[in-house]
Amino acid sequence: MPVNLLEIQKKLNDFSAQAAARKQKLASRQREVSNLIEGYADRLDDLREQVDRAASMIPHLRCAVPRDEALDTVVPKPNLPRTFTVLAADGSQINPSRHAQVEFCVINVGVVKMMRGSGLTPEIYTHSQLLDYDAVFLPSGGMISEGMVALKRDLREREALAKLMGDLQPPAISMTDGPLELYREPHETAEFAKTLDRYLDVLASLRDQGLITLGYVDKPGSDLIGRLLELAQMTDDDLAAYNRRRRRFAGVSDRQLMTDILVNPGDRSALFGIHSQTALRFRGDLALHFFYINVGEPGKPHLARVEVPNWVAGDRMLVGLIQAVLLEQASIMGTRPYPYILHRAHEVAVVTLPEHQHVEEMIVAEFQRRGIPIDEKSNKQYHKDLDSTKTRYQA
Amino acid sequence: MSGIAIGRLLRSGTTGFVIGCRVNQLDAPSFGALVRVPLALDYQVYGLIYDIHIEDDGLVRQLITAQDVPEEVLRDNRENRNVPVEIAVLTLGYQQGSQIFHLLPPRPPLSLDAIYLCNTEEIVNFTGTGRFGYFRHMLRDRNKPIEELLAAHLMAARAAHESAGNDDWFVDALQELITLMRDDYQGLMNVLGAASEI
Repeated sequence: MPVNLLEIQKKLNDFSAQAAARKQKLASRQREVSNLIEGYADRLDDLREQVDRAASMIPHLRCAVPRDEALDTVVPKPNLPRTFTVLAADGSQINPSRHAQVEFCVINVGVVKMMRGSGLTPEIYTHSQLLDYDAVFLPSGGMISEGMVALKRDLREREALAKLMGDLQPPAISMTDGPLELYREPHETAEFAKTLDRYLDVLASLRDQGLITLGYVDKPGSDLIGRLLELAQMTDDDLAAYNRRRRRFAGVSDRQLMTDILVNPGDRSALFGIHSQTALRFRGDLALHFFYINVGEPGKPHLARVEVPNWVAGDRMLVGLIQAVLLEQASIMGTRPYPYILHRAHEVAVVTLPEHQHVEEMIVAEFQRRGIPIDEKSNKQYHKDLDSTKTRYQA
Repeated sequence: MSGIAIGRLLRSGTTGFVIGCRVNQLDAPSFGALVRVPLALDYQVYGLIYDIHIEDDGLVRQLITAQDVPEEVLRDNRENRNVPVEIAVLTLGYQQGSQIFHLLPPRPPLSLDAIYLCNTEEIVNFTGTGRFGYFRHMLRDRNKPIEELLAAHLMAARAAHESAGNDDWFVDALQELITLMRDDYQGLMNVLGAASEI
C-alpha cells in the first residue's frame, strides 16, 4: 500500500477543524460582499470611476467592471428557438518530453456540430497537428513550454470553429471550455504576442460571420466581482498600499455570491467587463465580458461563468439565446449539468495513452527509415512504462 | 459469396465467438439467426446468435438521468460514439469445400473477420445436411437460453425450408429433439412449449 493511511487518519481531526474554521471565516466575508452588492447595486458610475482610479495605481489589477446592469440583476432565460446550430471545440495535446525517444508535440482538436431541431446526427471533425520539429525547440536551446503548447491549442480550437462558420444554419453558437481570455504564462514573450494577435484575428472573423462565441467555465473559482467590491470602499491611500496577496475578501468566489441570487434554472447575472493586463488587448467589439448562469435544476443550482465578446454582450437577444442554449445543453447531462456538446468535443479531442504511443512509434519508424539517430527512452520513463499490473507492488 | 455483413469478430474460441458492430448496424442480426464467417475460399464457420449485448459507459449512464434526450443526442450516441454492440455466437459447424459438417471447426475465426447473415438458401443447406447433428452443440450448454434459442432457430429454419418446398423439416427436427432430450423431461417440455409458440 503506497499511502500510509494511518498517518493520514491521525491528521484528519486537525485538518477538518481547520476547514471548518476557514469556511466560517469565508461565510462572514461572503456576507460582507453580499451586503456590498446590495449597497452598490445601482452605483455603477461610482464603481467604474473607482476601477479607473485603481487601475492607474495598481499595475496588475484584475477585477470586474460593471457594464449597464445593476449588480444584483437577474435575467430569466427566454424560450429556445425551434432550430439553431451549436458547435463546440476542445483540444488536447502531447507535450514534448526529454524522457521520450524523440521530442515531438501534437495538438489534437475535436469539433462537434449539432443542428438542434433537425433530427440529424451531429457532425464530428478532428484536426490533428504534428508541430514542426523546429517549433519544438526554442532559440535558447530549451523545449517549448507546456504553457505555450496550451496557448497554441487554444488558438487551434478557435481556428477549427472558424473553418466551419461558412455553412451554418443560423442562429449559431460556438463554445469552448474555459475562458475566452488567454490567461496563460508566459505573457510577455514575442511568441505569446504573435499567438494572441492571431487569436484576436480569428475572434474578429467569427464576429464578421455572426458566429456567436463563448467560453464556458464550469465550477468557476474566479472572484472578479468580489475584487471589484473590495476596491469600492478604498481610499487612494488604501489603493496605493493594495497588496494582491493580502486581500480583504480573499477566498470569496463570485460563484458563492451569485448562487443566492440566481435561483431559477436559466437565470443569468448582470454582464460585467473584465479589467486585466490581457483583457486590455481585447478591444472594441472583442472586449471581454462575462456573466454567471444557473444551469442547474429547481432547488439545485449549478453556476457557470460565461465569457463573451463585446459584440455579443451588447445584444440582449444574443445573450438570451446563449442562456437558453446553455441551459438546454447542460440539462441533457441530467444530474451533472454541463454542456453536452462540450463534453463530446472533449471526448473527440482527447489523446489516449495508446494513441500517444502509436504516434511516437510512427515517428521513430520514420526516423529509422531515414537513418536519423534516435535517443533511448530515459530509464525513468522506461520503468514508468512497465506494466504495473505485473508487479508485486500494486494489485 | 456475399451477403449482409453484420460486424467483425472481436474474440473467438472453438465453441463460439463474439462479434462487434455499431449500434446503427443492429437492424440485421437477431436472436437465433444463423451466421457464417468465411475464413478462406473453401472454408467457413457457421454459428447461431444467442446473445446481443449493448455495453454502457459513463456518458450513457449520465444521459439516462436527463428528463429529455433530444433526437440529435440519441443519434450522436448511436452513430458517432464508439460503443460497440457485442453479439455472441454459438458455433454449430463448418463448411469445407462443398461439404457441411455439424462438428466443431478445426480452427476458429480470427480477429476482425467479417460475419454475414445466412440467406434462405444457406439456412436450408446447413440445417438440411445430415441428421440435425448441430443440435447437440445447442443442447450442451445449459447456461444459455436453450429453449428460446431453439424456438427462434426452428421458426427461421422452418420458414426457409417451407419456402424451398420441404414441409417435413420442422416435424423431423422436433422428432430429433425429442430423441436427444428424452432423459431431460423438463427441458424437453420447455422446448416443446416454446416450439408450440411458432
